[in-house]
Amino acid sequence: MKYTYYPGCSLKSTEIGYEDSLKSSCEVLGIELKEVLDWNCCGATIFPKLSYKSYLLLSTRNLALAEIYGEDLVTACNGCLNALNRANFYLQDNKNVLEKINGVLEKVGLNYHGKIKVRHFLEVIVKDVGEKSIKEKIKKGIHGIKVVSYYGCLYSRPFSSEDPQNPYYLETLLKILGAEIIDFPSKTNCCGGILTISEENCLKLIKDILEEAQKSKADCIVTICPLCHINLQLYQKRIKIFMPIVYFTQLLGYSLGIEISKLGKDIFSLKGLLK
Amino acid sequence: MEKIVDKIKICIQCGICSSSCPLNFAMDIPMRKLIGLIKAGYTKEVLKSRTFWLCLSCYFCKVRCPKKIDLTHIMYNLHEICLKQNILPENKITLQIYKAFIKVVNIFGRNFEPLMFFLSLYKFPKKFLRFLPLGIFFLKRKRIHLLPYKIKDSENLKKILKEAESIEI
Repeated sequence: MKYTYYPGCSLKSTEIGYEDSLKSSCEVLGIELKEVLDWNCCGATIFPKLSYKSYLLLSTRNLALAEIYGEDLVTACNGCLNALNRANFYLQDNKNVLEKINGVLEKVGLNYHGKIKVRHFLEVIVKDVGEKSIKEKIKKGIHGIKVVSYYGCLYSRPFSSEDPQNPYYLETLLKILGAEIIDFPSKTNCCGGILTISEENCLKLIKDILEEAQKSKADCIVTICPLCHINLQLYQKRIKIFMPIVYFTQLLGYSLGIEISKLGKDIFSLKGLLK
Repeated sequence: MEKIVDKIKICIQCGICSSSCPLNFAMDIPMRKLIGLIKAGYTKEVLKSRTFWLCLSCYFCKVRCPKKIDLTHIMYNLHEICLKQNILPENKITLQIYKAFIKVVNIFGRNFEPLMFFLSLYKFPKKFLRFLPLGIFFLKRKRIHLLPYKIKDSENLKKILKEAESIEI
């Protein structure tokens, strides 16, 4: 299986463990990832607020670069998934804007034809790799670990093949790996995003999520987005609720028999539980 | 602003946007009222509100709106209109974070969190000091790249970003 890979800024700067575990899992699963050459920031949710045109340009440059490879574009960050998808659909609906953006991009030798599909890595694992092939490659499994799956907002909203308010691919995957799934109604709640820095009110959102996970007696919260992961981890001391937060790729990698040292530090918080 | 008015003409004022918004409790004007005010022409009041500055882009309102109005997009547009008219938000830090992010991306072509963080908060020493222990905790827990990466075509990117400002959409 071949895919074009868009890591996004977080996976290259602060969330190296996420990328490490993702790449090593891909190797075991036989997924070939080709990183987009010289990609730039997707614009996130910040550029569209201050300048929608700049945002469109940033995302379209990435889409144009990715189009050269001809495969589906995959990312493991909800923010990037949303930004790239939003630009992609917007330009498909507004061909006149695409022309204008292409007019600017042509000056650096790029052109986007609107033919690419942007997907989350989770969807690729569950849909394309599938239960059967994952089960064949599982070496350890994570039996007995109680997990709640937290998607955050931008995985399923507003563009997704899943239910925008009740996605289930993460639970599907964790079940395959042998984890005990605990129902988590807050799974697509917002973590506060970047505004956690400036708005104290956002801490309430994080508190609600952590509190619910704690009440459900889960061993850890499984995330699929670097920003959710950081927010849930960083403010625990201030909120005074302590709960291990791990990436789904870390549990996947562990199950596939990858050495724990290659999966990033977060998984160490589960060491007592892993056999 | 006229474009926004066009988009919300079909609003039935059901209020599902307000009830879906995770930060509704912190807003001075709830979403439903904000849309109502835009419809009724109270532009000044709308632009002075802190409502859209609190938008987290979680898209709850958009996916739940029975009339399928892209409310998140409207919240985005309101930011831009405000800045053009030099109406600044009550929470200065929010705007500073946005500006810091855009600055870092303009220099490197990508975001580099540590620098973005510094540029966001250095003007607000109280907040900065509150976040310092969190930053240190973060550095201890994570293996992170301490130097930013500059994309190869960063100079050209900067140029075309500027050029994109002049197109009409």
